[in-house]
Amino acid sequence: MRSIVKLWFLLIVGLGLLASACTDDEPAPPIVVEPDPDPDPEPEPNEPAVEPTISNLLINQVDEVIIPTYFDYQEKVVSFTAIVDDFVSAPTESSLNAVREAYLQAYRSYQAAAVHNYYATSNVDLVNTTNLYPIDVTLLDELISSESYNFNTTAQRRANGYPALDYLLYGDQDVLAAFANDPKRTAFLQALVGALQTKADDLVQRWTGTLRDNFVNNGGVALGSSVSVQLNRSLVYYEEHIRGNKVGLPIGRLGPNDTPIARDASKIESYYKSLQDNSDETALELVRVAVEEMEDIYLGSTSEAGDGIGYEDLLLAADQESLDTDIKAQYQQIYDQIAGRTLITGDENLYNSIQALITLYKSDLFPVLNVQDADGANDGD
Amino acid sequence: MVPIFILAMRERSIQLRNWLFGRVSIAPLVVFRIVFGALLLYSTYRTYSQGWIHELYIDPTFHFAFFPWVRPLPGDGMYYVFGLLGVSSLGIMLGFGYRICAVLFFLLFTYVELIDKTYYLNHYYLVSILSFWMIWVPAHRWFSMDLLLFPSIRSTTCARWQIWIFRCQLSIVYFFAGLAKVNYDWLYRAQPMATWLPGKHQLPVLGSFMHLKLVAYLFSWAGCVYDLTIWIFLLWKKTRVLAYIGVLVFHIMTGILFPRIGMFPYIMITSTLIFFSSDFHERLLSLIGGGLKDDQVTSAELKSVSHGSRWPTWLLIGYMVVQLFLPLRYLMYPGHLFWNERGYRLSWRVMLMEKNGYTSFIVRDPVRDVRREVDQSIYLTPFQEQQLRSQPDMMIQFGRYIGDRFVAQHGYSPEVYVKSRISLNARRSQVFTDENYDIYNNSHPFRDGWIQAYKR
Repeated sequence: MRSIVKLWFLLIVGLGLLASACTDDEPAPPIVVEPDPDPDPEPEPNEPAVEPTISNLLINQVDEVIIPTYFDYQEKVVSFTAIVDDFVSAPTESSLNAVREAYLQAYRSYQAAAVHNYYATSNVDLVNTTNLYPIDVTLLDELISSESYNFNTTAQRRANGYPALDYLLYGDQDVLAAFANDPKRTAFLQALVGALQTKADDLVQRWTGTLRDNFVNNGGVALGSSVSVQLNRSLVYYEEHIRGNKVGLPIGRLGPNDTPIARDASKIESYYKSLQDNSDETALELVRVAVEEMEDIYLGSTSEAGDGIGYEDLLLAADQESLDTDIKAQYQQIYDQIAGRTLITGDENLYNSIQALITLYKSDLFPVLNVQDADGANDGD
Repeated sequence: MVPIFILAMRERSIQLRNWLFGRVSIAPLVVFRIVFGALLLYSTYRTYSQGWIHELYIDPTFHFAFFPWVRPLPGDGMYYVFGLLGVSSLGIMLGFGYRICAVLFFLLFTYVELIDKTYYLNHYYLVSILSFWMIWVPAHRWFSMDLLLFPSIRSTTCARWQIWIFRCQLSIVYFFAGLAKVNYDWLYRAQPMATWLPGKHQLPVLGSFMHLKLVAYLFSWAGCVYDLTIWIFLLWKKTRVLAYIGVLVFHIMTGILFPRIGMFPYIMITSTLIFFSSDFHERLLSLIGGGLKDDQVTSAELKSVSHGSRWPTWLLIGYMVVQLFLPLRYLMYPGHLFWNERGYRLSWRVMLMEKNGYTSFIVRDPVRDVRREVDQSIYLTPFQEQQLRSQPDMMIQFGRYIGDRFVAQHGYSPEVYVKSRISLNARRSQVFTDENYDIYNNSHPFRDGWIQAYKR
């Protein structure tokens, strides 16, 4: 037995020597994100004195980032509903303008709400029932005249939500006359806005209910943890909707390679308003709001409250300042691209800057935080 | 001098041949046949019940075939293939139509494995190898249903090599799996264990230690030492029982920690039984009514020395040389193995890397001068996309496929570029491919340095 022990000992020593012979000059130590509270917090001067742990991150995310976003959305939609009611009772140029303004406010707020496309938000299918574009005008006209609509059905997805409102509020030469001439159109407008409000109320109720605690208690970074769900699902939203639908599809950058390559401005978000404005400024602003919400998740901040615990703080706790700098610089580059243009189409720089953030997340942020990509569910080795 | 040397060689080779073809108890083979057959049956059922036949072989429109001519069968064909796999593994287990079933299982299983690189797993490769050797051993000559039909094939012995081929193969698996772990990341950074283990914090008892760096180091070092040496302790009679307890603990533990390794722990737990002595297996068989009586095994048959002919010995030696060569073939390629993955498969490298990153394919239409990023989800399943992301040979396959589709649509060649950043074992990411290198119109991307050098 003693000889075996000796053999093992020799082997372990030998292994160490062997491996050190093929040493990598590796300056940075590997990073382990600790799911449990870290014993030695070092509060920075301007940072709140909260330790950058997963559980503090989750509390901050749900209480300061997610729930306020839905409260804001609910508030904007409630006010939108009231203003629509005013318009219906007294349709004038000024009440129509008030509706348009309230519409834009709600649409902007929606952009932030949709980024959190996980848990309750994906369960109520917010994105698919609220913002699929381009719309099917024929279908929309049919629905209006038939007076039978159910805003939760799949069949009606292409005549629903903000894209349908975009058409109703900006799609005609004389929108006021279009409403005045067709009471069914007015009824549709009211019903649609009512459906948006029902959904917004539902979301607030769900997020502030048991989900809030479940979100906080689902710790760690494994697949299915709140961190993994939030990062993966918001990034999927970013890829599909912000990169893809908002920018990639209109500029003809993304898609199957064997269909004709063409730019298609009709695929732009808020298309009818853009036609009227002869500029994509609204669509660009919607992109900006959506990207800002992504950044809020990263920083752990909302525009109103200060900076709480976000993924940035986990990176800093893991000595990854350079990655943090790169990610923030990438967000800034996107904002600069948006600020410097009036059309979504044109060059591909906006698309490329949006894309570069995905690369940073997937190839750097995720591995450093030990968050696994949610793809694939089969055996691996 | 020379004649003596040759004589000595010949003497040695005769000794080796006599040893290889000496007769030993058939019991270990019979037990192996039963447990391995049962495992194959369960594994086939598992693939079916998880819905993987459809998901992996029918749903995808594109496959990363190992050879272009290996394709899944159309329609419900793959269900029949798996049905036959189930039937043949049952046949192996019961020893019913054993040889036919072994041939059928080996061919069909290997065919299925060659359909798509996405699903490549070292333990599937091992199943292919083990089932190949099942063809050549008479595991059905005792305690099998074939004996009811052909009583004359009954035998209590087999050639020694027919048991040792499995022992050697399993030893090779362990040894090279261990050798692959002797690297800087594994031993000195505890990567990728330090990435994976903290995610296991919800496990009972163990979970609360998983975030400790020390645990990651412990697992890494223990795993390495285990793989490098366990086969020695299994071969050595004195330590065998203890070593097998080690096998149980190690594989059950990894099975709990990493459920995604699937059947691997069970394959190793059952197949390493073959390291046990004939006595052990004979007792095991007598428990289930297939005991060999002492006098039967020590019969004249056992003592009869059968002189194997020369060429099977050389084939066996040749096979072993190939098995030793394959895991080391990466040395022929330049660059960092974990980075370019040339010579990575068929080498018993398991759980060594965590690669993350982002890879996009850009198709440029040279006539209209437009560039377009391929929406990979149109052609690939999420699992395929995930595997494609960091494996260069799959990137080339996919790039060519996309290019071919473009040609079919437009009648002229596009340019296809791969833009990729990859992070290896929780480091910052690096540029992986030369994004200005057209992989569609150049035929030797590797030779041309398309994969960017790994910077430490």
